[in-house]
Amino acid sequence: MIKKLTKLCVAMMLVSTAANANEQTVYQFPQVQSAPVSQLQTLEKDSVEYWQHVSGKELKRGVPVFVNQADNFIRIAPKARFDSGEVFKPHDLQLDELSVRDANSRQLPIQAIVAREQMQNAGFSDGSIGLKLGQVNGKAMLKTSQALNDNDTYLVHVIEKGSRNALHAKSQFKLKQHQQRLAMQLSMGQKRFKDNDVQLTLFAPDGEQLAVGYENGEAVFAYPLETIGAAKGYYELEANVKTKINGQIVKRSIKMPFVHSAQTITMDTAKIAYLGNSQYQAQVPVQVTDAGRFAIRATLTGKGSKGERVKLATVEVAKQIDNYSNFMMPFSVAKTAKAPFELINIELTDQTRMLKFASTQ
Amino acid sequence: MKIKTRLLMPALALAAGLSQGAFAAQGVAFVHGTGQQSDAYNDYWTGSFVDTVRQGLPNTNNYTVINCDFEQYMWADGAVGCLAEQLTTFISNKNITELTLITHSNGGNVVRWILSNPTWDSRFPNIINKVTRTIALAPSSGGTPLADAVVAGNSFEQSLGWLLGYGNDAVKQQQVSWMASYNAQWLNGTPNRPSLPSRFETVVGSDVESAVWDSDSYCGGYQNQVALEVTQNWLDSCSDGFLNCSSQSLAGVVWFTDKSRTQGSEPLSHQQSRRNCFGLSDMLKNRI
Repeated sequence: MIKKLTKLCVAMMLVSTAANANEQTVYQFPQVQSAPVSQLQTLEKDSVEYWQHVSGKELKRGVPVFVNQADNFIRIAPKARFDSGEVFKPHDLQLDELSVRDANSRQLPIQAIVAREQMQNAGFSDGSIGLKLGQVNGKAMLKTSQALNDNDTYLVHVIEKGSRNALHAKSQFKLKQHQQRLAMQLSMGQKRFKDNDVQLTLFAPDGEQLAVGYENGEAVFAYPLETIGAAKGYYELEANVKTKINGQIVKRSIKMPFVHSAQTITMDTAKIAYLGNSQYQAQVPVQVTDAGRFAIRATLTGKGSKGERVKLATVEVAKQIDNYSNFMMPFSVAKTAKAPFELINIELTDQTRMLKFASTQ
Repeated sequence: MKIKTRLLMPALALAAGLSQGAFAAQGVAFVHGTGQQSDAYNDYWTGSFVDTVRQGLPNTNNYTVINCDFEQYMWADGAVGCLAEQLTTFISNKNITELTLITHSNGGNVVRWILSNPTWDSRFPNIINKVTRTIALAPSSGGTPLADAVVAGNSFEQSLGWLLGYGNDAVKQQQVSWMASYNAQWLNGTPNRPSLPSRFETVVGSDVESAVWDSDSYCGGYQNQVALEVTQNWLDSCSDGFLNCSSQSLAGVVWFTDKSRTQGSEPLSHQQSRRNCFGLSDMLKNRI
């Protein structure tokens, strides 16, 4: 008897959970909404900075830093590394052990130094220290006399604020499923970069580094990408270039995000019914490729007294969908209009994976 | 009889209006910025700031200070889900009918997520219907180059964030190009995007003072002020030390830029725009 009751309770809970999961969230906008803006196609960005990883051994020997103007800032940070299955974080750097030298090993003046605590207060909580060079000649050697482990990793990050030598990137934002090429144009003023000038790195949303090449202004991925959507963050392409401008070496890094997209939801023709008392209901059949929470936003239209199309109301509905389902969109309408009624400005959203799709019936 | 009806209708309307006014319960919620808060009243805002601002309410007890994990992406359950839960509880417990949100920094983005994505969560519609105004103090609406700088070269460490303690999705999210993508597709209130369902007005910080001899530098903590000067390497001449003015004013409408209204025409650094500095809390008190 107890067992039967328990089974009954479990069954009731399951039914209740299923009912809740299938429950719609409905929102009618106070005003009719305009058409969804076309999908973001490209992103553009400029960079006047570069960053690179160096080893403890290199820092002890001297690492070239490419600074071409008085307004500069160099940040050096210890970075974690893997070794024999363990993660190691290097020793913090001592500012008084750092020096910057020119090509003849003469020490260059450091205009300002920023201690770890100040950098931390500024948001750099990774053990960064900072310095500003007082005299620049395009190439200087950053060196430490600190006893660092040879294999430890450090980040050298240089910014030349206001530099005329900005690296410009324009890249495709949306990569369709199964595609393995993404457009990414790089330029510096009139200068265009050849494939060999560009070092490209690809990072997955979880930070994993993936194989990538650069061909004819496109990033070419060695393997198909796995993560669909932006819910866990974006994929990022990092480009590094080194070039000569007016006889000086200029180095720049830039990172561009993009989303790996798949059409996870499609819709069929909506049926619209008048329920009386200025209430309408649109039934929209949809099909999804992966289970998740999905939404539809649409504007109901009807015919005005002169035959013109009148926008009546905009509603958004969301619910959990596993494969096939119907969105039931209730519209409460203040204006009067006649049939035929239609939905326009339809936008479908995959809320689980964070993807948006414009749709037409 | 007809005359009576005519007389009665305005009286009923007046009574209904009075009744609505009498039952309207105004409330204010303080929404912190990036970070994981458990006592934002003391640690993020300071009690004197909150206690001054809430004096502007008809019922000074109708306030709440949000404590959530805004180190997560704004859409994550620990971020916007937590905010929705605390706002829903506050609205319900205090029968709030008109809610003002006071946000700082990334808190403005989390609030915009609610206002822009009404069905993301079943709690959102009720919140949207109650929010009458958001006062966004130094919102990071357009992101900040500083987030790009902090994240630069850190991809490996981000994947080990749980181990190293600073894998922060909220910082990644506030990179300039990331915010550009969210503003283009997910968030409303920026140019060429749908407007937000209620007023979103911003207070813009435009400068940082950190002179040792200037006592004004100490409001909000001198150490923080000095640190903010480091960050200027990545920022425009008009910034509050963490955010460019252009980012702070990107969404909604600008209520004021610091020096135009603060006592002594002092600038509000990013730390100072959540503290009792230069008359800010009194201005907020008179605004809500």
